[in-house]
Amino acid sequence: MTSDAVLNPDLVERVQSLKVHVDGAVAGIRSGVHRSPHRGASVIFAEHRDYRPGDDTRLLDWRAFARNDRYTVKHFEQEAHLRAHLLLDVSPSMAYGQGVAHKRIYGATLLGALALILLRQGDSVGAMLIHNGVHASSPSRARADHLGGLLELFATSSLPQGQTGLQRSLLESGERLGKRGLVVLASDLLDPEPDALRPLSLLRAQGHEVWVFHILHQDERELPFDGPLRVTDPEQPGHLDVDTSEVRSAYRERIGAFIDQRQAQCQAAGCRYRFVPTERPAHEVLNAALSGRSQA
Amino acid sequence: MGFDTPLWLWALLAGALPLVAHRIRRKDLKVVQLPTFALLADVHARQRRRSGLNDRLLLWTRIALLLCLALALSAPYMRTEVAFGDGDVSSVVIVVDDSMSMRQQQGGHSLLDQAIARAQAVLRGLPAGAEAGVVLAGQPARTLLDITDDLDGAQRALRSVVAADRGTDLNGGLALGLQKLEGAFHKKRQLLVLSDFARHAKLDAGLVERSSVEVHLESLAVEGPTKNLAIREARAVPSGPGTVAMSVLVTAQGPVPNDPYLEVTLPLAAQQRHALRFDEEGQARVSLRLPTPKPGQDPAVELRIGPPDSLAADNRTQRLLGQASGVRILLVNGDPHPGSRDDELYYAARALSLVPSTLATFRVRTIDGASLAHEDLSQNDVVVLANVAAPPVTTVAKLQAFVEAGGGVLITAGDHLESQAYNTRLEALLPGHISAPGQSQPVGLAPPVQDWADLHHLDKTQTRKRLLVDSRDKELLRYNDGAPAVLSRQVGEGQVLLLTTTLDDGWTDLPIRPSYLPILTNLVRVAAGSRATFETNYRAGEAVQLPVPAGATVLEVLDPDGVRTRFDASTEQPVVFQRTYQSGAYRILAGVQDGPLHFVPQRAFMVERPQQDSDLQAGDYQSGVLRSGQSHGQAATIRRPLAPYLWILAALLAIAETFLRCSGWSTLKRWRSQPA
Repeated sequence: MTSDAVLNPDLVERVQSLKVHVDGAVAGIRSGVHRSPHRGASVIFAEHRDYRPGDDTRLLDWRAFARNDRYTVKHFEQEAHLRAHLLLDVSPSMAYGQGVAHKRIYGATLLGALALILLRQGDSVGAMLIHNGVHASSPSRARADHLGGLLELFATSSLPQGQTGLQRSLLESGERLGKRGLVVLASDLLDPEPDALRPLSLLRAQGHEVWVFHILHQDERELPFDGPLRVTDPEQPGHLDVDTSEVRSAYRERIGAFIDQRQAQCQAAGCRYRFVPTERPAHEVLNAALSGRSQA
Repeated sequence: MGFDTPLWLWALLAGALPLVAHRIRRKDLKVVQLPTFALLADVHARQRRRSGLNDRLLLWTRIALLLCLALALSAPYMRTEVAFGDGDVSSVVIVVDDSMSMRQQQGGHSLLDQAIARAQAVLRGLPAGAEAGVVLAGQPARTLLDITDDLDGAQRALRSVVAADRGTDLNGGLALGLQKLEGAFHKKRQLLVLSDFARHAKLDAGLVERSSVEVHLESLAVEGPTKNLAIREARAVPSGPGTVAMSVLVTAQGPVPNDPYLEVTLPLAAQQRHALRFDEEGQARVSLRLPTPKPGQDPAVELRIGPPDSLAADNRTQRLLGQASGVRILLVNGDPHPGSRDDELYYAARALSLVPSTLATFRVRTIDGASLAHEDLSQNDVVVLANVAAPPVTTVAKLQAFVEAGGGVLITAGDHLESQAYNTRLEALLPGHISAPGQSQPVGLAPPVQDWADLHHLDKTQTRKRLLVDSRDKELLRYNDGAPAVLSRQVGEGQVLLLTTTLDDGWTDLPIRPSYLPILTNLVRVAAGSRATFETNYRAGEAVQLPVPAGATVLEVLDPDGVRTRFDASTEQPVVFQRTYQSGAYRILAGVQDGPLHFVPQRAFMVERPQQDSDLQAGDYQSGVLRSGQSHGQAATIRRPLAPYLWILAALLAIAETFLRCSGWSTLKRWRSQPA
């Protein structure tokens, strides 16, 4: 896979007008478009409060003193740039599908487009490839030429084998993340561990805003195969002989329950969850996600 | 077990096809890598738990279906031994000969027991849906059980058959069985006859040959020389005051056993034993002089011969002593013409001599009217005044005393009967006032008021002349115009009967009609009253109505085996005794409740032994029957084809396979889950 396959010009064109806004405050060093947790110099008035010794006298509101005969300090919101961390699940289970519907490519496209948007609005973007831990990463930078590095990282062909360890991956990622920012996870969330998504709560506790793109292929959701099959697991040895016509109905119920379960876990952790079928164009997904529309 | 087309057995290998197909199908499966493998495995495991049974059933159903088809094509059959017939569903009537000769012992069991066991085995072996009936061929032939599909009930009914000294009525049984099969349900009809087929049965082979029914004759007698001793005859006649002379005839069939003997047992007397010496014809006669039992004593003497042989029933008999061996009838001829048809008693005397001993035993003596005055009437039971002129007053007094003591008088009309004199002198006896004889158009007789057997076509009799009687008493028989033909009157203990026409053919053609003998017999029996009962020889199994002596409230019957049957005569009237199974003397004891019982010799009766049943020689008709194409219905081995059952099974398995293939249990579950 090449970086061109990750982000094609058509998509770049389609996401040109999109902007990323986070709900919470972010702790950026440089000033940017995102709300900072700190009070500082800006045009956005925050509050009045009584002067306390030690306050910068330059902040005294003399007009208020003239009216009330009280020393009052005027506070303004600080605006900071966003540090976004894009986590792409590169476990073997993501290597499913053809063309743009390939789950990992689709995830890479989604995150690549998001990186493009973020970098354009001056935010810094970092990326990590996770599997059973952090497989590879790119530091967070705000330079426009950083996009190429990110796309190359997403397009890397050196991928790990073995079973997905989402919990470990998220924990390791959390350790590497700096100040509060935006964490975007693109994954199929296929991890048999029941506590696989628990670290999401830790990320939220650290002050990060967490977005989860839950990517699944149509085959995974609908099991459209005919007749008896030998089904293998991409992450571990073993096979299963099954007549799809016999299990299809129950399987669809099961996968529906799995999606609901993951959504509930994400939302319980305070994350923004979005289910992403690979047959849906990436720009539509981004458009909906960034405009804050609910899922179609 | 065998196979008609065994080459098809190779097709049994097809039973492995489902397994092979299963293996091949697994080998050629399309492989798909699915990231959601764990979820699919989870679903599959749960599905597997539910559908596993279905799959296994489907597999085994298919294997069973193929095996079944292969087996059906190989046309298997089973060799089954059936107790009777060919195993087809049919209507069967079993004729069991329960005559006395079937009581002979063979191998510790009587032939009758063996016949019943065999009949039960046949009933057990009949296929489901078959029906059966049972007919007994002891005299008289009778139905034990009508044709029914309740074969268990038929077996139970057979257990109720009692060994009795009946004569053989094999032809009657055969005819009755064939008659029953005419209305049978199944097209296939079979008759099984279980008998010893002894010579005396006189089986009508033509009856078998003419029948469209499949007849199986099964002889239970073991072939071999016949050996049987039998008491053929025992006649007792009074030989002087207080003694009875008895002549006993014993016959031997086959070789005479060593030291044959006759034992005589009298009540309250020592047993006598007499050696038997047989002549060349196999007969031995013994003359005995026995004391007449005293009043109140058991009137029976028991005769027993030995050594014991296979048929014990004819080795013993009993005789009643102190009683005449028949109803003593005194015929008083009012118009004697010896040797001529004009004789008043020409027909009556002959008819009475022809009465079968099973119906009644008559001892007839004839005198003329003039001799009546000198006759000791007490030596008679019935006096018949046939066209007799009115007797003198002294004779009438004797007659009246005779009747009051229990005797019977039958008065018959004729030209010599003086009606006025009769009305005057015999007023106390006559059952009506006699007018002058009346001439009339010929008139027939009406059916009798009483239950008199064997009376047919009475209306065809032509009576041209009769006495006109003002009826005062019971009418036993009438003419078609309602006028009385026979009247009776109870006088004391006895009966007086008046026949308003002649005993000969002077006024009527009754003597040449078939009903003459039964009418005459019945008139004598009625006249004899209770005396007729004990003199009658009954047949085994026949019900006997017992008259209750005056004043008695309890009646006991002592059968030949010494078994007593008690009747409460105060509540049970009339007393009917049914258990006349053994031949011999049945003595009657009478008395009052809680009081002593005493013998009533006059009420005792005999059950006659069928003499011919002592002849155990096998009949020579058996070979004739066999030549006519009939066969003995012994147990046979039949080939029972199994292919039809296998085809049915295969069809059922095919339906089951279709059901299971269409997701079987889940379909069923869906149906069940659908709201009603």
